[in-house]
Amino acid sequence: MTSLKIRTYREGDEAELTNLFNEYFKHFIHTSKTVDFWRWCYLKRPDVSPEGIFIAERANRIIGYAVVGIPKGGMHLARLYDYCFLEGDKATALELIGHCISFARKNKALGIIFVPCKQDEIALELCRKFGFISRPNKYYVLAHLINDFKFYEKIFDVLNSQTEKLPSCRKILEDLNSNLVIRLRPFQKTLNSYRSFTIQIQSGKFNLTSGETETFDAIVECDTTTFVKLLFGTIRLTKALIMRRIRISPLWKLPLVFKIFSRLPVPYPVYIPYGEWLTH
Amino acid sequence: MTDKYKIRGYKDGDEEAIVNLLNTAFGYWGDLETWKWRYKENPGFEPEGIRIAEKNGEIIGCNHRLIRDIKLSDTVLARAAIYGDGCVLHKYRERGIFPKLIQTGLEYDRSSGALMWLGVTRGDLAKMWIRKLGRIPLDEVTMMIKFFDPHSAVRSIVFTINSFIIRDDLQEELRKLDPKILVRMPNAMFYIQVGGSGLLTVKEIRVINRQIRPDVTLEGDVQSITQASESALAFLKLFLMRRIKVSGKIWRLLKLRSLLSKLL
Repeated sequence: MTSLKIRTYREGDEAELTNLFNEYFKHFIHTSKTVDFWRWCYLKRPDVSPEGIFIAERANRIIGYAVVGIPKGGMHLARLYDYCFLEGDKATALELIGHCISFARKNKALGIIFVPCKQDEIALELCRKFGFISRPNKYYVLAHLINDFKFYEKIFDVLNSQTEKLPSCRKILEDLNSNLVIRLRPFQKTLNSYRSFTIQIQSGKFNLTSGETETFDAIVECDTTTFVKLLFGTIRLTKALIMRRIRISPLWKLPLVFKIFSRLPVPYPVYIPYGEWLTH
Repeated sequence: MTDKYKIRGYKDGDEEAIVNLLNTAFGYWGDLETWKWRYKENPGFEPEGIRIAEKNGEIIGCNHRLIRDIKLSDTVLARAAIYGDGCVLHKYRERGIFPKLIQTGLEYDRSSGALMWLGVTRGDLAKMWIRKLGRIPLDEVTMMIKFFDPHSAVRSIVFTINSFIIRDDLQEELRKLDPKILVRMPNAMFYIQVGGSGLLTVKEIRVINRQIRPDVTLEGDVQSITQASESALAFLKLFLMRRIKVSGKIWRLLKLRSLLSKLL
């Protein structure tokens, strides 16, 4: 195996780095990274210099990168804005993070901040190895639906494409030909403020229609927050039922609703690299 | 005092006032160069995306956003409004200005074709977003930090506190409180007190000096001391878990913490 080489950024690397990021995080919901965006985000960033962009290469092929910034004012804590390495490549990750820490030390930073992806076992393991401590004040990824129906349509497009890839899931859905009416209560309640749509399951595919169909198998009533949480898998149907956040009628259709909702959670978690946060 | 203010989009020339506002609200936010890079030079910048609350010509609140495409999967994209920095001056808070900024921002997002609003925010602020503005928490993110030595950790804590104290009325309250804190860490000891400028100063102590009479002595490792400085709850939790030892006038420490939490 050829040896690993760590170098700093060179003009023209960005296209390969963007592709690497999009490939590595393809199983995550993330902001689409383009070359233009990458240039703005890291090359033009006031606290990042090309010497702070570390690139791992093996056989002249880029296999990972990490971007570290040294803010000029303030607390003088270095920030590891973005990182990415080929799946399972612990040696590359170790080298890259090690280089970032050395760079921060060399630039007289007091310390370094890193926000690893929660699902990235290697990054978390390296945090422990390098002696990072977690801050008790957590950060949250928050969402709000502006055009809810169109958003649900997109989410169900994702679910349909996922189902197509998995024959076992398609088989379950094919057996479930049914109509489910969803009534959602928005955050700011007003009289008759329910928003309704129907999930039709036909030939192993989800179809969404606005409003309620005349014939349906069951009605699910809940608030928008709970429904979105169910879609993203941050709450389970059982818990929502126990907490009385969701109502199913008729109740004896519960097994059907369970089967449908078990197929709902979007298969991908959300990931926003620290370098793309726009908040303080 | 009249409560009349107007909400408008960004205009050239607003940048300095916006940066001053952010620095006042967040202790230390950054400089003009950072703001220009983050918003004005962003490929998705549009003046109407920056909502400003103005009263008698003074910018008293702002809320930034950028429209971007989110990849929901390999093939499915959705347009989203990414939430940026937003705040209202302390003296104008609790008057519904921020929700109004958010509301007019959402109208802009809708007209831009955004299907969703997405933002990352600190835990204590997230509660306000969830309870008052109906935002939905999708994920929890942990920020990791590594200090290169104990001195860096204490300097960083003191810097954070100072960045809040630097603002108006708090300096006077701090002078009255006049806390003298001795921090003991393995192989390192620090003395924190109010300096001549009214801000906290930190001094490393190499040899125990009997003339130093602290009000409070805080003992623990770098990790525990850093975590305890983050919130009163974390402080209490670590104290009960015996990860930190506190002796002396603990109320002074808690008062200092509560002074800060008023502003956070």
